[in-house]
Amino acid sequence: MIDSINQRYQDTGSALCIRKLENCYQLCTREEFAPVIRDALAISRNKPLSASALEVLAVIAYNQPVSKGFVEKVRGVNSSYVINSLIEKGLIEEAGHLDTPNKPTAYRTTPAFLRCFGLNSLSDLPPVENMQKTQS
Amino acid sequence: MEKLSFHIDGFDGPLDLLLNLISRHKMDIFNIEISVLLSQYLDFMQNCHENGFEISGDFLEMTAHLIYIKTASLLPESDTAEMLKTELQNSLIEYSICKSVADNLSKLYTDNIFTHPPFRIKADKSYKSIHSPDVLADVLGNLDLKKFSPEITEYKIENKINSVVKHRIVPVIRKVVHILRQLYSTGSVDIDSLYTGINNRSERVAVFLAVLELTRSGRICISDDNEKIFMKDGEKNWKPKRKKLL
Repeated sequence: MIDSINQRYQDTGSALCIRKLENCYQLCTREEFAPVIRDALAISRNKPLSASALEVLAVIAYNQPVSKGFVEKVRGVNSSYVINSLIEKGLIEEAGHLDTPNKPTAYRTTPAFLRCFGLNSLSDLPPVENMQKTQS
Repeated sequence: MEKLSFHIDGFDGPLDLLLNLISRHKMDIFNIEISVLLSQYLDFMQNCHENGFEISGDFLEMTAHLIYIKTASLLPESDTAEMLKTELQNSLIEYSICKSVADNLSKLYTDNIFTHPPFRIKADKSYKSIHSPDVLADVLGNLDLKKFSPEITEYKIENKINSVVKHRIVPVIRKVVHILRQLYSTGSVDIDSLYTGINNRSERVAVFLAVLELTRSGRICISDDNEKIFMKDGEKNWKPKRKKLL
C-alpha cells in the first residue's frame, strides 16, 4: 500500500514521499525539492556533523544499546558533550540501563538517524571492513 | 569533576594521535614497537609544550601509560608488558575501525529531507445531538417552581452580586451630619423619613448607627413612640467628631 502511495506521489510530481524507518513509516519531503523548501520556509542549513560526532554515532549505531563509558573507551576521550549534542539533534536517545555494575544509561539511534543517513533500517548499515594484517 | 578535554592540532584524543603517528611512520599496527612509538609521542608532546599549547590530561595519561609499558618490557620474564601492548593495540585497532566507519557514515549523511512532527488535533467537544423542545418543558414541569420563582432568584442573584461588586461602605459620620442638618432646619424629624430612598443596606445601617450615636452622645432625643427625633436644647454649636464605626 505504501508503495502505491509513493508511486502516486511520484506520478503527480508531489514533493512528498513515505519512508520506511525500521518498524514505522514517516511522511517526508523528497530530497530534490530541498532547495525550494529551504527557500520558502527560510530554513538555514544545519551545521554539518563533526568528525567526533560521526565517531560517536558510528560506535552507537553499530553496537547499540551502548553506554557512554563504552564510547569513551573506544575513542579514548570524554564524549559527554558530543553525546548530549547528538541527543539534542534527535539522532540518539536514551534506552534504559545496561545490566552491568553501576547500571549505566544505554544509548541507541532514533528513526531520525535512519532518515538522515538515507537508511530504511539498521540492517542497511554498511558492513564494517575487517582490517587486514598488513597495514594499508 | 568533569574531565576537561581540548583538541591538540586537530587530534581528538591520544588514540587519534597515536594512530596518526603509526600511519605517518609506517608502523605495523598489529606489532607496535613500543620504544619507537613512545619516543615519537614524547617528541610530539615536547613540540606542543614548546609552542605553548596546553596539554590535556588525556594525553598526559597516555604518556604515562606508554612509559609504563616500556619499563615493564625492560623487566625480565614479564608478561605484563606483552599484555599491555596487546591491549593498546586492540584499542588502536578498534578506534581505527570506528574512524573508518564514521567516514563511511559521513558519505551517507543528508540534511535535505524535511518532516513535521504530528499535529495535535483538538478534540471537538461541541454538543451534536438534537433534542425536541418538549423535553425541556417536561423537565421544567417536574421542578418545584415556587422554590425557583424568578423574583426571588433575581433578588438572590442581585443580592449576591451587590454584596461583592457594589459593596460600598457608607461612613456613619456622613449620616450624622445629614440628620443634624435636617434637625437644624425643621427641629424634629420622622425616623421613617430618614430611610426613604435608601435601597442600600450599608446606608440603612449607617443611618441607624447615626441615630444611636447621636442619642448616646446626648445630642438628640427620641420620642416615646420611637417615631420622631428632636434636637436637644442648647445644641447650637456642633462640630462633627470622628467616631469609630461600631
